[in-house]
Amino acid sequence: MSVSIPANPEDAGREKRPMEDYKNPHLDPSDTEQLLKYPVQDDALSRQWDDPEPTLIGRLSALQNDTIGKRLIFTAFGFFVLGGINALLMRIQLAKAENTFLSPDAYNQFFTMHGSTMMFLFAVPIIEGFAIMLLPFLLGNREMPFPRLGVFSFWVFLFGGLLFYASFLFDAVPENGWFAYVPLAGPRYSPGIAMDFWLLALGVAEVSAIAAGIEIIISILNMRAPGMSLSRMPLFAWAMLVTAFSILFAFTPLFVASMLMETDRHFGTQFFNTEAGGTPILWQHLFWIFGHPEVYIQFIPATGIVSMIVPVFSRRPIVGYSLIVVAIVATGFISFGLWAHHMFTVGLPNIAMTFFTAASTMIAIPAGIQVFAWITTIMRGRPRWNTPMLFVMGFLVIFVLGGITGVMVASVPFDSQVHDSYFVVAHFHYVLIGGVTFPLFAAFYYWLPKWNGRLFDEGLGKLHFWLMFIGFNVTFFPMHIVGILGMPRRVYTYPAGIGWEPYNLISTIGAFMIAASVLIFLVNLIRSMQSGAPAGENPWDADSLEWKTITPPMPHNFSVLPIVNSRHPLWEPGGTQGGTESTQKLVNALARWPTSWRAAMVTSTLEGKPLEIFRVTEPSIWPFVSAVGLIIIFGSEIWSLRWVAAIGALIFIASLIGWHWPKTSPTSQDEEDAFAREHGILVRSYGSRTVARNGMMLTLLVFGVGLASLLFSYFYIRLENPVWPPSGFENPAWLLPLIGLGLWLVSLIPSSLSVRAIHDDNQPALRNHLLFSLLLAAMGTGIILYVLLTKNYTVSDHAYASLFIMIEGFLAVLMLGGLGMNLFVQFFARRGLYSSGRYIAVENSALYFTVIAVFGVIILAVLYGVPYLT
Amino acid sequence: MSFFSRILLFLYTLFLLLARNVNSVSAHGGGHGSSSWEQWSWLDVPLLLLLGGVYVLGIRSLWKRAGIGAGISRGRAAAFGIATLLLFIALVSPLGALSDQLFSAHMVQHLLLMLAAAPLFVIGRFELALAWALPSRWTTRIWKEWKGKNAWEYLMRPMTACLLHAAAIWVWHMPRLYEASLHNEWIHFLEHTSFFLTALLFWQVFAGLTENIHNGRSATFGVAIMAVFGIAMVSGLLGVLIAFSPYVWYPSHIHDTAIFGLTALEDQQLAGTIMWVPAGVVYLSAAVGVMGRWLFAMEAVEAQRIKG
Repeated sequence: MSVSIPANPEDAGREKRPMEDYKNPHLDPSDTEQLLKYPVQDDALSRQWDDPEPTLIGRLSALQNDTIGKRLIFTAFGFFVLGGINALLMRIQLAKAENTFLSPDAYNQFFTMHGSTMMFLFAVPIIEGFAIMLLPFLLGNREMPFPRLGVFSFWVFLFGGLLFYASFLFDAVPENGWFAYVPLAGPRYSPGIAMDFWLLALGVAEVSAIAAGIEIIISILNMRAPGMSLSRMPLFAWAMLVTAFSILFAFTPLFVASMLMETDRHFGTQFFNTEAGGTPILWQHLFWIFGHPEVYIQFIPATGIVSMIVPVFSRRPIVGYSLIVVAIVATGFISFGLWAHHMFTVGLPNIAMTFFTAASTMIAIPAGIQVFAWITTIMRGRPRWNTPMLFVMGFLVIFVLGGITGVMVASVPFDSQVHDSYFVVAHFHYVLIGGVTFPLFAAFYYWLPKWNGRLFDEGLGKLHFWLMFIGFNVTFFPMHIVGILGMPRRVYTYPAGIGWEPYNLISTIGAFMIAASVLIFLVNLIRSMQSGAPAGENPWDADSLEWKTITPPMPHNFSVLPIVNSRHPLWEPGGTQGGTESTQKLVNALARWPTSWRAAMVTSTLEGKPLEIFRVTEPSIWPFVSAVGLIIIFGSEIWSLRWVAAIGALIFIASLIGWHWPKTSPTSQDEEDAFAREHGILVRSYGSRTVARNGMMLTLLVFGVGLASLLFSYFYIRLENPVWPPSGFENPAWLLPLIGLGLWLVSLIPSSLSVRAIHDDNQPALRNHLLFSLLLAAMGTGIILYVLLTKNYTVSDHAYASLFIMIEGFLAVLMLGGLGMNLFVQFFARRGLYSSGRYIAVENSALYFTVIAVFGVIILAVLYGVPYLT
Repeated sequence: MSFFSRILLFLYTLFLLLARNVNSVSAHGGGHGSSSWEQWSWLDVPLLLLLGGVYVLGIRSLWKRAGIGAGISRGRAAAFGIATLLLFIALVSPLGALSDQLFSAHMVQHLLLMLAAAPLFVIGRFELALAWALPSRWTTRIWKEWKGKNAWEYLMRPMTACLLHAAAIWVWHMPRLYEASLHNEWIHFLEHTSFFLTALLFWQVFAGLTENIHNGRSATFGVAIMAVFGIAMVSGLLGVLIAFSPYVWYPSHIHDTAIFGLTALEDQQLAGTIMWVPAGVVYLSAAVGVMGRWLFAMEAVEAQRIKG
């Protein structure tokens, strides 16, 4: 049987046409032969996938991955410029000794804003922006799995960043450094609302990072082109996979820590107060459990970018693909074991420090593997020195230098000397600017032409590079020397005549060179958007799938999904075709049907086999509204306006319901079944089981990491108190909470029966079991709430009390969330929405109940068991 | 296996349990105040002999039936040999006695059980040897009883294995329970058994997840990496707590550490750090090993494709 595949239709024009032109013929999915005779439905697909009309509501609802990705990238770049301005002001202040350009307070504010902006509002969001923009293209699919989550993530990030900078308006700029150590940042020494801006605005930005992380993981694991097995995945995707997991594991503890400090400041808890049994060192642990991986969260994607660019400009496949993947995974793993080396001077036991010196130098191994793989690729290739490649070379040089000073400070005796000096400042700017900013500029020059449709000017690009490279070294190299000479970090000025002035002046000159180079970039960007040379489809003769689409790409990326059978699909003849005949038929049929909903493909994790055709959600205003709700909750807490926060919470919950309101399908069940039968694939016009299930599991993973952070805090504070529970507290009475948890555990029986009922399509049983599980779980939750609210102590009595109430409260909130989810499912179950073909929500709700039960067992075991056991 | 040998096995097991009880009275008679470097505790030797004996029996009947190296390769058999040797070092050699005195030695002992002996047992396919050592009637019956049972499925889930193993690690370090184990040989035995068995379960599940790695047929190796990362974090955090504690958790260790030139607190810090860093390196190696093996298998497949 021969398949007739029409000529490549992807060159079709994209200019806007009136609505009626997009009306597609009604195509019959049950007869593939017939279906494939029609042309590819480019127009209908474009219409279906395009963002809504650019009205206000339309813009706020836009959710295409290119749109969200670009918004994230340019917003983050805006914050990069702001952070850079902060840095310039500091450099002006330090240009000469005993300068009075900035007051000490202003200086503190600027270094705090600079560090926080670069770490939270620039590096991570811009990387997630590139990931969201690129991944569906690189992986050969049409969208991200949760486009609305992407929208939510963007608005939350933007609002968080704006709220953070709003501190200038209220003259309450945070000034305790990007690490916000307590007790300086605690309620006693930082009264006022400055620290609350830091905690709450950045806290909300962390939520955004976590949300995007979940989406990125699922996209990489389950939304690739057919045939793209894990071992053919582009290295950028590998890097983002490890990064996104690291984000879940690292940002969650930081978010928990921020909330602990915020409750210390506003609710009288005592987590970090030594006088009431707390400990400030706990903050340092939680912060660096985040902070160390954070370095790699920024660095690993940058290596992914480098691994994409190096082979293209060396005109040969990358050397040591497998070694690089192993190195990426190892880096991610190791980064979670090393945080203590940021605390060398806290007073760690000597014995521990020996181990940490050894372990810290270990991270040099995977980094070294990657560096040598790139160098070898370049050496064995025929390199072209275009701007992206120049930035990669700059990265290699600077990052290796930063790595060397890193090995130096990994040694405890040396670190004790240079700790908190400009040597460390030099070290981490070499690592972060060299390791992250240079690759990001390479990414701009490399990828933006695809989306702009126009190339950058090479001459200006090269000028940008050289000015930045030289300016960077002029700025930061002297800092090594002045650091060894003894100049401490974070001082607003220094005395004249001790030999520090020339170095500082040179650094300031260098900083302005960097600023000038960024200006050149902006000029280049604007010029290229207006009058750059057309980029064409594949200006760099690159190997990965994003270069296969027309420039700029259609809203749905690919009409005919590529079938990948190579690591370098565009370099090998037939690299994007092939596959079995049935897969070819499938992708070609998918280019014609369905056109009435946004169909994307789920593929298997390992081999990239097509599993499901599912409906990706449409644009909606609700994610924006929920972002507004969330920012109201967090923002109002700065001024402790609880009733405003309550309004925000209502908006948030209502918008979540609107966001997840089920949709009816525009295609009939018969049509879907016909397509499914014809191609041996599941067709789900309401959403994918794989995607929904994985989304729920990752969400629960985040909750689990949050719980682990809270329990770690519990035990850490336990360490500081020889008597537990502290004097004045009785051992907790365990009977009542045990009954509460028991009821929840019993509710798992009807909840799992409800899953069985829906698979059997037994509607009455489904409704009954859902109701039973709700009643039992509600009673259990009620008891836990009762126990929580009838304590004979308050959070401010002692850190023990704070921990107890916080952790039990966490359980209660999770349980309430479960009840809400059950109610939601129940509501639609009673309307007969679910069937044996549509059961994901029921399953997910049951899964949530089970995991919360496990959390409950752990929480009660710790809270009610540990006082008896230690 | 004949009726007679079965009776023998039963009597031997009975003897083991009794011997334990008798010995435990004398085990803690001396020791305090002097270094225990020369103390060998023969208490667990019969147990090791039983394990080794069962393995040899099983492997003999397996190899007799299917040829030498069948089912359990020689390398795997050697791995089991090393595992018993490590158990011998951990439990019988002076390290065992030392671990009554030094927390850090105790930590090394536990890590030998959980991170060396247990995975080597899994590599040696102890369960297969056991199945062949037992009368085939028993084996088939157990297999029938367990196969497809929900309880068994749940037990072998990565989540369950991780939770049980993590719980064993954390619960036994609660000072009351740990102290109890130092003073009662039965509780001590229970502690070691639960460490070892949950570790065995964990590594068995890990092995199951990475089983098809060489032909690249399943993506469960990713779950295996997550599992090993999770356990590394969970036990590492306990190590952090132990290392950072400002006071001594287990007073029973206080008296003896001075002989080794350590304060009790330093001993504890050493123990915590061992649990944190070296143990973390073992978990890391497992993860990297799995990742590497899978990738290089894939590399071979890809090379084949390009050639073909």
